[in-house]
Amino acid sequence: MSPLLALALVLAPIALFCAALLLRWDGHARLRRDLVASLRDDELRELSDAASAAALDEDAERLSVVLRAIHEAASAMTSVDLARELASWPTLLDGVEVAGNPRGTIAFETALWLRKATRLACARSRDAAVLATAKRDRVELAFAEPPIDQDSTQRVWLGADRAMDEHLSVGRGIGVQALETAGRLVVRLPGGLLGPESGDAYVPG
Amino acid sequence: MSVAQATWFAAALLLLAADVALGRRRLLPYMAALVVTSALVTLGVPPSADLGLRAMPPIAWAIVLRRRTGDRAASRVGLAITVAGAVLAVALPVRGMSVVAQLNALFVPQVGIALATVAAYVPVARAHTARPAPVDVALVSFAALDLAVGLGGLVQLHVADLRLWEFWDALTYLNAGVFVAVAGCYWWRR
Repeated sequence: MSPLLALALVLAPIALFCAALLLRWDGHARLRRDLVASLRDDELRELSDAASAAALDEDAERLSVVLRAIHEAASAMTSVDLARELASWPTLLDGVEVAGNPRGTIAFETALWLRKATRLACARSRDAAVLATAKRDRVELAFAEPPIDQDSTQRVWLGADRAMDEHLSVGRGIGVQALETAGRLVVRLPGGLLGPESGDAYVPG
Repeated sequence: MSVAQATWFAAALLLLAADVALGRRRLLPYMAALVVTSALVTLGVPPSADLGLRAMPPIAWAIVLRRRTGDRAASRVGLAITVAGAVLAVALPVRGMSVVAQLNALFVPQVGIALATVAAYVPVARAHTARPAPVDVALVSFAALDLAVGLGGLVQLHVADLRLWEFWDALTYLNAGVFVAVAGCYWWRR
């Protein structure tokens, strides 16, 4: 094999990876623009903290792009339109990686979606603390004012289920089971969906 | 050691160092097994030990795959195929296993683990629109190369007088390029 061909073979994958990195960089810029256009609520500033916590010890590169956009957009936000905000979440979270693990992404999204569903369902005040912890096979929501009533639980369940169906359609037949205990809602995700490196997501309310 | 092998070895050491220093040791089990195995095989070991050693990287691969994707089923299947191949490689020569059978035992795990990797990543790719992290791209790239090596080896074994030296050299150089590229990604994202 000629040295030139050998060199070309070594350089080919390197060139491919460089191209992929550049595409990712361009994707970051696009994602940032989308975010700025879609965010509606300065509440998302809090979620940037959640994102920071979720990605604290893992791949935070892409996450940081989201965080910058969130901070930028939050200052210009005036109204609270949760329905529109909810509709913007797929754009917001698309491409966010936690734990450098595609399934870690699911964990993070799940935690945030559940938090949004919880806030929608319970219509709690801003100072009500809701802790969402994404575990390997479940997401736990701990409420500061336990216990939540049965009706709220049902609405949370429905919201979470809808979120899962619409935006986390990871495989077929994935359901959400909600169990109410004293101030704690546990949503179990069958099949170890979240992966071993998903880590914990702390979402201050 | 040929130029291609030396290039590959240097690139593998570079990636191993990058994985430890700049990454999160995600590839460490696989790269360590790969480097140590290659070094020992190059230095020269008995045939049965050689085959046993060569089964180590696929086993480490299954561990990395499991940790990375969380996919139990695929990594278990890959691990089962790999262990079966390793057992065959180590045990059967004592009972008069042919050289071809021994080498089959070497290449079959590579094909198995590569297919298991694809099986583990397809649902992930279908489930989410996010672009994959470089490490995931690296794992799939390694799997593709492993598949090429395994299939090439099996074809060479079963087609009389077929020698694929250029093919092996090309794969070795490509593999070295992927190693350097992944190490570069670590540096990029540090």
